[in-house]
Amino acid sequence: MSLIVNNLTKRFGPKTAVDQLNFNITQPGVYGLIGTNGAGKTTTIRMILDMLPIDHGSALWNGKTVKKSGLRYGYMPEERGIYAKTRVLDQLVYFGRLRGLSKSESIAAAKQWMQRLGVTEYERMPAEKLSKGNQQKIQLISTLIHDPQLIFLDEPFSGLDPLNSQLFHELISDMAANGKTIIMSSHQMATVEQYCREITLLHRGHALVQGNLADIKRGYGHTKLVLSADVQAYNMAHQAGLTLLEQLPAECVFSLPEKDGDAICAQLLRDLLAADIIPEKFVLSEPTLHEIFIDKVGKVEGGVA
Amino acid sequence: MRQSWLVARFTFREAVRKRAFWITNIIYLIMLLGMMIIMPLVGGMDGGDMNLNFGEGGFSNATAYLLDESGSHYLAPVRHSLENLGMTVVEITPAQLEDSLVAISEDAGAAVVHITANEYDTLHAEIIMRDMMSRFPANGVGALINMEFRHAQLVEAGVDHEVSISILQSEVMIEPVWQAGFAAMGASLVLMMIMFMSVHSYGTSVAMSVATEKSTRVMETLIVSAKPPRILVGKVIGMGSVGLVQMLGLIIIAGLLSALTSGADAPVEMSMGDINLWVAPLLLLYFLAGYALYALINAMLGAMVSKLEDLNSALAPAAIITMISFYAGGLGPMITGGGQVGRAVMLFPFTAPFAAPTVLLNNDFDPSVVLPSILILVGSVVLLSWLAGKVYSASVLHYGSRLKYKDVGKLVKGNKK
Repeated sequence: MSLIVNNLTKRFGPKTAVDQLNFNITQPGVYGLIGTNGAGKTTTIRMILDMLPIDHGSALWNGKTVKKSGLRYGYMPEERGIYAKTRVLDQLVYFGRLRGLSKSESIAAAKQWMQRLGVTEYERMPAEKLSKGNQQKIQLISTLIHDPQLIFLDEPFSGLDPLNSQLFHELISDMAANGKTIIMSSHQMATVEQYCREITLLHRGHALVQGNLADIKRGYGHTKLVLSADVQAYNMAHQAGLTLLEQLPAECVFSLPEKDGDAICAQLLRDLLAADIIPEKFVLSEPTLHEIFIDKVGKVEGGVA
Repeated sequence: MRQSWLVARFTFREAVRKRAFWITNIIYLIMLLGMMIIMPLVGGMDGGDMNLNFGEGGFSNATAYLLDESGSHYLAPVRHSLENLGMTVVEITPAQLEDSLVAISEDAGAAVVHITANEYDTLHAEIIMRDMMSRFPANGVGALINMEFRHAQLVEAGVDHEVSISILQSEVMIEPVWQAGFAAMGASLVLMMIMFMSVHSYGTSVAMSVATEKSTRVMETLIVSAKPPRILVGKVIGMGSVGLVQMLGLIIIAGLLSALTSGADAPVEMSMGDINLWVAPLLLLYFLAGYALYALINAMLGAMVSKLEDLNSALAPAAIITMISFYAGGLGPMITGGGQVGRAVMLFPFTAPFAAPTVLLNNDFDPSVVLPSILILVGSVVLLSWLAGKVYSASVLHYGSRLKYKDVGKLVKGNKK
């Protein structure tokens, strides 16, 4: 199973919303599509799903253009949309039938999903009477009711409380483990980092960073040292050329210089041990996705680096 | 087609389930019952002071204050005739006029009959009553005065008394007969109104449904499942079915009520015998095609807004087209009696649905007009379906300010790629 996006381009008048975007998804799992507001994430998804015509390029699923009739795919848009006045089960059955299921299959699938997400008791209620989190669950069920192979989730965790977030986390992990291909668009970098093996960072229609997240991070190298020891150790770190980024009650976070950061840290550790200081924590870390995002977008914008 | 059918069924069920649908039905039923009750009452009112039935009722409780300033000698026979009919007659002098006016102000069955003559000896009878609700039989008294006047003139001219009465009582009975009768005219008016109401109410409902799905973002979920033109067709069929069911229900209830309330005392006896029932399928075709034409326009306009509050202004062009077409198509052939105007409005797709009831039900069926008219109308619906599908597909994912027509054009152009 593969999704190959090749030179995907979309223009709205003089504005280029997506410019020659390329990425390949060749294995099941979760793929991250991240970016600022207006970066082109939703436009990209709509083009792949044939909801918007492609100006240039192509999006192929297993070598064929994505078509509603030829592929079971699911799409949960960022803006949640369900029929407020319609009973929950009725609308789920409606969406199931529109996606090719028979009435009995739709009812069975809807009830199964409702049970899994803990909303069975609301099946005869109009959707408007449900809490925001439960409405989101209904939206997710309507996306997954027909057991799609290719799933697009646009900001799936926004507005969820921690318990429901955990429920969604487990669900997404299960789907990925069961061979589904999921493209997740999100502003929550920690979430993307938790799930996605590969990402595309979009900014103003261009891909700023792409590829395997671990490789991207590795490309940056170690950028921070988390040190937990006594004050003398912190002073030694400062003297070694490390800059204090954050002082927490139990530890300090230092940034490493761009050049020879690892060598400086190795020497610092040797010096600490020589001084009979055994740090409780001495961790070299790569940048988080959030930091990479800020760095890349900031450089383009000429702002924060 | 399966998806359009599913959308139509869902749209139908949702519309029928809404409280607004049942409230509208109840209002229509109340209006219908009101008409059933009021119509006989209105008919019955004719039996009061407007009925010139001299021998019965109207004169017996009435009082006439007669003031003759004409100097004529007709007053005595008039008084005699009125008294014979049971009316109380009081002759008054000019000095008693004021008191008489006060008296009639307190009696709805009394009037002052003031007779004068001009310089050419032409008589003038003024019948002064309390107000417009007075029960005094003014027309009957007027007719009687006229009759006595003519009788006296004939007798003065040497005509025998009996001959004069015979002449005055004889008259030519005139009965207007229309080739297409009352039922056909009534039915065409009712059908025109139903057509207008359906186009207006359910066309607006289609637009409302589209705009609601767009504003609540259900549209994004929906178009993942089905192609926009299929959704559009489903919506038009679903909402049209609601209209058809509602109208058929009302027609059946009206028929039942009419059957229950009509009888020997019914003010107007309706006969469907003068309607060619074979035009029913044609009328149904005009009804369905007309509804589809206007519903598609409304759906396009509904897709152009992102907020429900913009819907009314977006639908204004459709409302104007509907109103103009209703008056031109519906009333044009009726006023002008068909002819060139009838042909023209039958051939124009927007007016044809409103013109068809009048033209077809009044036996003005001309295949050389009706067949091209149907072809043009159905062709327009097909063309508009194609256009509406394009506009709908291009507009439904546009959010923000209301789309202008040129923007829609650009979007449609962009969607071709």
